[in-house]
Order: sequence, then structure tokens, then C-alpha cells
Amino acid sequence: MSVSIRDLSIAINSKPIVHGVDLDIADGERVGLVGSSGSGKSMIAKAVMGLLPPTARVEGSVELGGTQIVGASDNVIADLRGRYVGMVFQDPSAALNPVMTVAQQVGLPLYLHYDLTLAERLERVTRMLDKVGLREDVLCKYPHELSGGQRQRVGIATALVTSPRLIIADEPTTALDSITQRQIVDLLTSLVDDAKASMLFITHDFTVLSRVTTRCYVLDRGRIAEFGTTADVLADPKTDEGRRLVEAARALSLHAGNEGA
Amino acid sequence: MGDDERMVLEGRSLAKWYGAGRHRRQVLFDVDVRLHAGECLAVIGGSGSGKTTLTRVLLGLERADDGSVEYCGKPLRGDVARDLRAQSGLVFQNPFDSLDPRWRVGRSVGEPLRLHHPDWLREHVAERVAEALDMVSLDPEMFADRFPIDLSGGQAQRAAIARAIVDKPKVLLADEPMSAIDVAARVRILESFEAIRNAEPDMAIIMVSHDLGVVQHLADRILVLHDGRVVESGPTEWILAHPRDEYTKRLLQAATM
Repeated sequence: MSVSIRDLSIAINSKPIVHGVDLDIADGERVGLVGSSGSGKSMIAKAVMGLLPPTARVEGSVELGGTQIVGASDNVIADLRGRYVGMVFQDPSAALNPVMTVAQQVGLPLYLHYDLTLAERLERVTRMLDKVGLREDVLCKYPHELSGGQRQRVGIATALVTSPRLIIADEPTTALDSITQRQIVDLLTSLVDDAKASMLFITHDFTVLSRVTTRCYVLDRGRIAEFGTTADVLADPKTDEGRRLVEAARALSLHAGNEGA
Repeated sequence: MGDDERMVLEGRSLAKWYGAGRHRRQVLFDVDVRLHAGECLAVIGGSGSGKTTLTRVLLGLERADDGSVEYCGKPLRGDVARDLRAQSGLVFQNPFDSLDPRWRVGRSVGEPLRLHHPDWLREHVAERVAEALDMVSLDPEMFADRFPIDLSGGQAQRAAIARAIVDKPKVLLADEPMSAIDVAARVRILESFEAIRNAEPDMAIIMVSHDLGVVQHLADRILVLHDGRVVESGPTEWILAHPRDEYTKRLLQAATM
């Protein structure tokens, strides 16, 4: 599903957070939104999901597959979100309900938005868990019985079980260790591609971005500082904020020459 | 012999279990580790590998079920454990957990000095606090009077580091000091650790991380833990260039851009 954001400004308690942002995601495209903490990237994600707090003042336009979100009623947004948008969050232990089993959690979006029998639901949940690399024995487990990586796999399964057309991933790997990060990023990318869905991937880390996205936007204090193909921005960032983020990612990663045998 | 004189912490055949009854499980298996004065040792491993447990055992915050720890050549218990506690500085993942939200930064940073040296004059404490803040590139004029809520995550972590080093500890333990901080701010934190190493050439540093990329510039030696066992240890360049263990190779891949 395509996303078209035009001149989006968001203020919370009359404090401006996002200023005049334009951002486009084509159908089936994976796009990154990168910025330091406090740059407003999560606010933009929330605007796309229609999840801004009631105290937020929003101007401009956010269209999902041609439907305007800004100013739309809660029912319209909830239906659109439930059927077409999947969300993956940073902290899977906060995103999962601690008193729901994995089966209940992953089945919840189906229960809320689709008219399926219990058997049909269970079948789709099991198939989805298989896709994220979890075996059937986790079905009856609670979040606290899972590792961080397993929890994020459940988070991804919950986001993708309704076959959404747009995935919004807000720092989905930040809370995970580096090996698990790679696994989750690669899993998410392949699932999104298999489903031919679009993705908005939010991160502060260009190392992750370069694996996941084809195009990216650099956000600096609520404004888009630059955008382009991820390869171009990585190779030759044009703005101070772009350079700062790219150089930091380079300083904190190993380079292929270092890798050895 | 010269080597032994520089030895600050030595753990031998450390083993540790958690839980009881049928939940009892072993989290450290026969771990040997040495830390010398002036050295930076990185303890690397995924979540659940036992890296935090190992460092807590080494600093006497937890007891090993088997094996021994020595601090400057003496078994770690009683007075020796108390000495180590007073002579170690700790930095954790979330800086806002290390700073009292009701206290100004300068007061938090100075607290170890007021505890360990009750006889010091206020001016002297203030001087040392300013030195420590300078070391982590936080201008004392600007930052000493701020509250934690007015700091970014990176600034707060640097304030927490200033607090950990203000009394010039023999051992500085930093447990995932950069995991919760965004990438651009991580570089400033690395620079702070480099400044500390230059200013305090005898301070021993243990850096716990899951990310080899983060420690490559700082660590002299790397110890890789996997499921509670040391799978590899040696000089940093050597491990980066010639990883032998499968798990280490995966860690290298995960840190490669």
C-alpha cells in the first residue's frame, strides 16, 4: 500500500515536534526514516498509524492507499489499521500483553477484524508462527517464558498475521543483541517482500538501514534534512545530520576488510 | 612476577547457578578471566550468555558457586570485597537509572566523593566534580546545575560515567553503556572512555557488550561468552582478524556493515 505524506506538521501541547514533512512510499517499497532520538521519527510513525495522542495538533495530509488519515474518524482509522497496517515496536515485552499466550496474542488481530472460526484462526496463527521461525510448542507460552528474540518474532507474527499491505517497524531491533538483530532484520525484510507489502522502517542506525531499505529519509529536529536511495545517502551524505549519522554508523561497525577468514 | 603485580582481578574456574529445584540451571561454566591495571577487557556475548553475571561475580556483587576471585592478589571476601566496592565504578545500560531524578547532575556526580571522603572540603569536591564532567565533555558550567530530565540520553550516560570515575576507581565496569543510546551519541561516549583511559592510565576497564563493532576501538582484549562458557579470548586485533569459534564469526558478521 502506498503512503503519501504532504506538509505534515505535528505539535503536542502546542510544542512543535514535526515541521512540514513530505514523505512517499510506493506500493511494495521499503523506505527508511532515520534520525537521532528526539528527532520526531516515532511521531511521524504514529501519525501514519493514526495513533497520535488526543492532545496532538496535526496539519497537512497523510494518505494511505489514497485514504486520508488526518481528521478521519476513529472507526475509519481503526478499520484501515486493523486490516491493512501492521506494526512492529521497539520493545516486544512492552508490546505484548503479559497475560495472553502467544496463540491468543497472534490471533487477536484476526479475532478483532475478521470473521473466522476458532479452527481457521488457529490454522493461520500456526502458519504465521512457522513463517517467523517459531515452532508450535510456543503457542501456549506467555511472553515472560520467551527470549527477547522470540518475543520480537511473536511481535512480527502479530503484525503480519492479517497480511497487511503496509508494515511500520519502529526501531524493531534496538532492544536486541547484535546477532538477533541481524536475524530479525533479515526475517522482516523477506516476509515483507514475500507479502509484496510496503514498509516504513524507523531507526537511528544506518548499519541496519542499509540492509533493509532501498530509499531513506534523514530526519533532523522534526524536518527532513535529506533523502535519496540508501546507497547514495550512505556513500555521500549531503547534510550535517546525514554525515553525523553515517559517520557514527561507520565508526561503530566493522568493515568487510576486517572480517578475516 | 611483573605480570602478577599488575593483576587487578583474577577469576579462576568460576561457576554459577541460578534458581532452585527443577528450575536450577547453570549460567557460568568454568570461566577463567584476568584483568590487569590499565587494561580494557571487553566481555562480549548475546543476551543470556552470562556476561553480566560474570562481571557481577568478579566485582563481588554476587558469589560464585564454584571457583575463586582475587582482587590484587587477595581472596575476594570481607574487607577485600569492601575495598573493591569502594574502588570500583559502575556504569549501566540506562543512564536515567544511575542518576537520581530529584538531584542536580553535579550533586549526583559528587556523591561518591562525599561518601568516601566525608572530611573533604566542598570546594575540593566541586573541583573534582568539574574535572570529571570535563573528562566526558560536559561543560560543568552548563551541566552541573541541570536535572537529569533536561539531558539527552547520551548526555545523561556521560554524566553517569563522570559519577563512576569521579573517585578514580581501580576498576570501571561498564555494562552495555551504549545499547540504549542512539548511534550518533554512542560515538561521544566512546570518546569519553578514550579520554578516561588517557587521563587514568592505571584504571582497569571491563566493557560488557553484545556488539563487537562498539568495542573494537577501545578494548585491548576480548573475551567471548556463549551460553555461559568462554568460547574465545585474546587480543582484540587477533580476534577480529582470526576468529576461530563459530559463534565469534557470527558476532563479527553481525557487526559488519
